Amino acid sequence: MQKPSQFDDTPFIAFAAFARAVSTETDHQRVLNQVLEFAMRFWGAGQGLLLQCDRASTEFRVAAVKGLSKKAVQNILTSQKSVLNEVKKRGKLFLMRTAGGTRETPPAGKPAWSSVTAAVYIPLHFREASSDILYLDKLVSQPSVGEETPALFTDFAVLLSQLLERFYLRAKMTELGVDAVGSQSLNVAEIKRRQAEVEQAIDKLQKSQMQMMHSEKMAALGALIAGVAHDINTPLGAIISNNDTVKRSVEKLQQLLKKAGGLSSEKTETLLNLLELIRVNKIACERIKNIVRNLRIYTSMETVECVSFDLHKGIDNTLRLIAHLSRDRIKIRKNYGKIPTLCCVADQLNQVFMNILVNACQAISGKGQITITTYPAGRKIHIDFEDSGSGIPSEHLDKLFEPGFTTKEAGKGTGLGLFIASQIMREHGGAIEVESEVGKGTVFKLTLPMPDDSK
Amino acid sequence: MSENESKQDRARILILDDEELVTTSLKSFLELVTDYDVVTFTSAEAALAYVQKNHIDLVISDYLMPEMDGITFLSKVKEIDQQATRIILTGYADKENAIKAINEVGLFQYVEKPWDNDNLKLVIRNGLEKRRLMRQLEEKVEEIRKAYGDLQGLHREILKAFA
Repeated sequence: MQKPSQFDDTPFIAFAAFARAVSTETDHQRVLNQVLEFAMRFWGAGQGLLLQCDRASTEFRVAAVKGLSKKAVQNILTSQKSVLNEVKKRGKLFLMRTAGGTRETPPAGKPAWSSVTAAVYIPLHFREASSDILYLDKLVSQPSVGEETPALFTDFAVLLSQLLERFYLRAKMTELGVDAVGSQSLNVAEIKRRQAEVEQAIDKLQKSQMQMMHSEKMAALGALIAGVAHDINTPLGAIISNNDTVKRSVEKLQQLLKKAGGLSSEKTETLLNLLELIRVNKIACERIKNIVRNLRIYTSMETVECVSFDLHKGIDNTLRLIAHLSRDRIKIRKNYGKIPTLCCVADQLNQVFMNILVNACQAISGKGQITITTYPAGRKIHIDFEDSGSGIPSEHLDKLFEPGFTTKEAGKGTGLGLFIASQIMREHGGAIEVESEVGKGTVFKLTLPMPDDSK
Repeated sequence: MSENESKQDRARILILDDEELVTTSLKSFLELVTDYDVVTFTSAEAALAYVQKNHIDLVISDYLMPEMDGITFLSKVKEIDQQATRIILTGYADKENAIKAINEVGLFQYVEKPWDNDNLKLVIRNGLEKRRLMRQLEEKVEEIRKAYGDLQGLHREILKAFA
């Protein structure tokens, strides 16, 4: 710990005022000049030199100079190089007495305290990659060369270091485009705003990266599905054909036996059993065929035909198909508005209705109702499917249209239904949106572009 | 049988698919419900060799095969026999390519996998009908040409008689 300075603290108040003045100064050289001048005035030095040196270098540059000729500066830089570097290395000020040295007239207003002339090397240290050295000579108001002197010099050095460091930082930030000019401390609001901007940019970047990964995943999935669909088709074709051929064979056998009069009830029963199995096989094959077809629609393997389509008829047909799901427990309400027939891929839109309606029925555990509303609005046709089901938790809403997302137990849902639905809507130039509240129900809102010929 | 064709008039159909399960299915079906003489191959080279040596009315080929694609195969068949009706069997994935090729090479029909037996039967029957009509047309043209030649001979003789 240092002992309290024996000096009057007036110089420090003066320093504070100086620091304030410097903090609003933007001109680099002027600041350096002012620092030097202040230091000289403070210590009553007749000559002063502010030198800068990069941390790794031993060469000093002149940052500001006063009362010294170019030649004298050069002389100091060369002859005192080792002293300068020593001061820089040790980080301690170095007082050099130049006993009997020439002494010039003291600056006005400064008392000539002592005839002892001294030069002082004051290291100013910065955290950054450079350090400055303040060289003062011809000290006229040299303070008592007592024990306290180095301490006071050190204190002053610290203050000057801080002042300069702050200035350098400010200059650097201006250079980097950080707008902090004109304020002593950095504008907090500005920093926060910029920080928010950077965070936003990072967020955007992360999102687009996720989207990219997502679409890559999609492309890979599409290729996989296309391959699987193709591979399934050939054996499926054979099974469907063979099943049909077997059926015809059995029927032929039936006729032959009948003609021969050998059709006992046992034989009849066996043949009927066979035909029943063939019938079930056929249904099973149709199901596989449909699954493959649906997958194909998603991967656009099939060129599809657009037909004039009555959406209401499509919805009604779909409702008929899923009647077994809704039967006594779910009331279906239809608010059909006046909407035109559309040119679209009927099968695909029916599939969208099917996916939404099946989900709605499954969301309703006991009794409930599904309301289907259609209406034109502007250049769009709206179709809303509202159910009084269990609703979708908000954390699931984002993922709802992602492929493979399902909350149904394994084997019950593929997680492709709504994904395919959204693809189909997109292909038709439309959109699918969802609003849901847990415990209240869900609304799937479909929009399709109004056909051009109807106004 | 539904087709009322006599034994010697039996239409001969060649089926080419690299997958034996397809050729077997098709052959079994056709032999059950029609009177056609069905020959099957899983190699395009072997099938072409057969076409070289035998009379064929109708050819059904798969589109995607490792050795040679169906379009190339059918165009080679055309080089050997102008009149044989050509049908291609395509999966979904290659439908677009297949249709493009069909227009270039001039095929009678394409049938999609998985095929419907009744539909396939109909396509084949129409294909054979076309083949039969073409042959008839050729015969008639030939008859007309002959009759025209006879007429011209007659004409010359008449002119000579009146000269």
